[in-house]
Amino acid sequence: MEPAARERLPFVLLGVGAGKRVRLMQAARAALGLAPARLVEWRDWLARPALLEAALARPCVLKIESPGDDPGLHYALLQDGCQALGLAAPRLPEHGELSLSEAWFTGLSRAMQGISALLARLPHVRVLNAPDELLLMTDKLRCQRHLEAHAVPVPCQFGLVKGYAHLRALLDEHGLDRVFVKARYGSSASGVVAYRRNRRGDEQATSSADLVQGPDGTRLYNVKRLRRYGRQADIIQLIDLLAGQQAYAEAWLPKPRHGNGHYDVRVLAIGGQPAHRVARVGASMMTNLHLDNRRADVDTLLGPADQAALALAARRAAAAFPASHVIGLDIVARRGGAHVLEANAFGDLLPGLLHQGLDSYAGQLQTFPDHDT
Amino acid sequence: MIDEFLAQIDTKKLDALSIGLWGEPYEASSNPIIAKLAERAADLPALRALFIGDMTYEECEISWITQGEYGPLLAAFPQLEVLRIRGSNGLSIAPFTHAGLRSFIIECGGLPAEVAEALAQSSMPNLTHLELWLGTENYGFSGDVDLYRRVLAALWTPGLTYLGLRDAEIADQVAQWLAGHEPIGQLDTLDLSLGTLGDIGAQALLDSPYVGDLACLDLSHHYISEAVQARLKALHLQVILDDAQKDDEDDRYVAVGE
Repeated sequence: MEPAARERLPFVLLGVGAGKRVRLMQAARAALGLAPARLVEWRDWLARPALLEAALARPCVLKIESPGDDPGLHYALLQDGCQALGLAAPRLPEHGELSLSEAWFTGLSRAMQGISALLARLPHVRVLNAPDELLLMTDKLRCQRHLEAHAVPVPCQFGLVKGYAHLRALLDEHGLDRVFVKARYGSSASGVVAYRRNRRGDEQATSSADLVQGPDGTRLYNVKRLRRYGRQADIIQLIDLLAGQQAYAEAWLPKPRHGNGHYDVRVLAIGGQPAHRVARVGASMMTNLHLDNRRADVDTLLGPADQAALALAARRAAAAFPASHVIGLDIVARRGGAHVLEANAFGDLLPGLLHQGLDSYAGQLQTFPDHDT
Repeated sequence: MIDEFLAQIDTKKLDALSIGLWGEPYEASSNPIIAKLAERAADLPALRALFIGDMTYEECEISWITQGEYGPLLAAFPQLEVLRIRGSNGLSIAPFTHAGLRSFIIECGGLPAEVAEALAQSSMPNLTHLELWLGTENYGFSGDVDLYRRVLAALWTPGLTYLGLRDAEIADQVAQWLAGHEPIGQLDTLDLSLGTLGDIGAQALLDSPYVGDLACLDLSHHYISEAVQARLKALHLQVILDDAQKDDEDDRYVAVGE
């Protein structure tokens, strides 16, 4: 008897249909001659959990996409998290507002735990990005500790920051004058502060968080255009507000210089191997591409030793997340060494960036084992 | 460190030198560097371009860089053609005459009136590129359009092709003044970028009888409304309008404030 032709498994996407990620994934599937992914809308699934189970009834591949493309989802997860934590029902956050991050993360955790439980019952489903690892990456503090425990070089960690005074004490303790403070839950430079001081008594903070005074207190908003703070009163408020939603401090690693800017590298690890990579050159402290920074070619910037260090760090970091087929790693490579700044569970939105002729979506599809054997 | 570096190269051929981070630049001034360079001037006959303070925002806040007294340097290098200084903290320049300089650049978060005052009593007859970052009061800027009128009167040359009065929180007033300043017609580039230029200054430039003679008008990092931007783009010269800022009066800030 002839062996049956190897059939590709159907692909189920938990995502936001109106978002870029789903559109790029469907485009990549079409380009590879694959059937469109079956989309389960995040918001529909939250309202009717049985939807996902029904979509996963037969052998298939599942990819969990970022809920970030739908602002309504943020509120839904936040509400669920507040309820689970016994907190009062939250008001609707404004666009970009940084509030109740812990409750939001609790909501996301509950959603992911739901998927984990479902997958345990459905062994015929191959998940492209395991929900527990996805959560681990979204808790940036735990993620850094996890990487450290797996011998991946990360910036020196100083742990949770309780507030401005505590931050100053931490700097004194470690004999430092500059540090990064990062919101524990989030990504895309959300709630990140580059803080420095000098012995003359000056202080300065640069942040993607905008401090806005309102009638009912001060709020934080993520902004694409970084804000600079030079007044101590503002810096105290900024750090205290971030710390109130959990924030941690880590060493400020110097990034290599290019022209008047500095850069780090986004490396997409696919199937454990470094694949797509792009240097992000910025004239400010944070080099995330959505903050108006420039893309540059890694090969022209990094010498062979730094390239090798970059690839090694990416492999090691990817190995720490064996059930994640795709990981967006932010890496500083310099003087023959490399440090991982962040591992992003949803770090594959890199439109137009090619590796071996494939974009990030086609690349992950090509390499993921989705045949029935 | 400079001695060490000079020991490794053919100093007779060195034509350009860029000096970056020196120790902790908010504590230590550039004076020792200036003194060392002046001391070694005889060994550096080919030196034409000097950049002192080549540090990025990441290495040191521009407003934290401590500069020094530039008189000895200017005296020691009469053949210098390009001088670029970053940082204005502690910067001092006594009135001077220098016939070699073609490009003179001070980049900073706030230029004190004393420095501008000294420039208003100086002379660089061969200057083709004059670039000053005015900055904000928060970081040391003082002075007004009248002071810069005198700076320009002193430093204007028939060969000047580039004028940059950048990073200015008084950009609108500067634009209003320059729009009516006939000599700007001889420039290739008028650079009012990095500041807080809004519709008031932009309108003055649009109405200027002299702006049309420029090849390039750089207004990057601005607060100009869409409508006025459209009219600027219709001018028959290159108008750079990158990096538009949110038009929120209270939210205005210069790109390099510190």
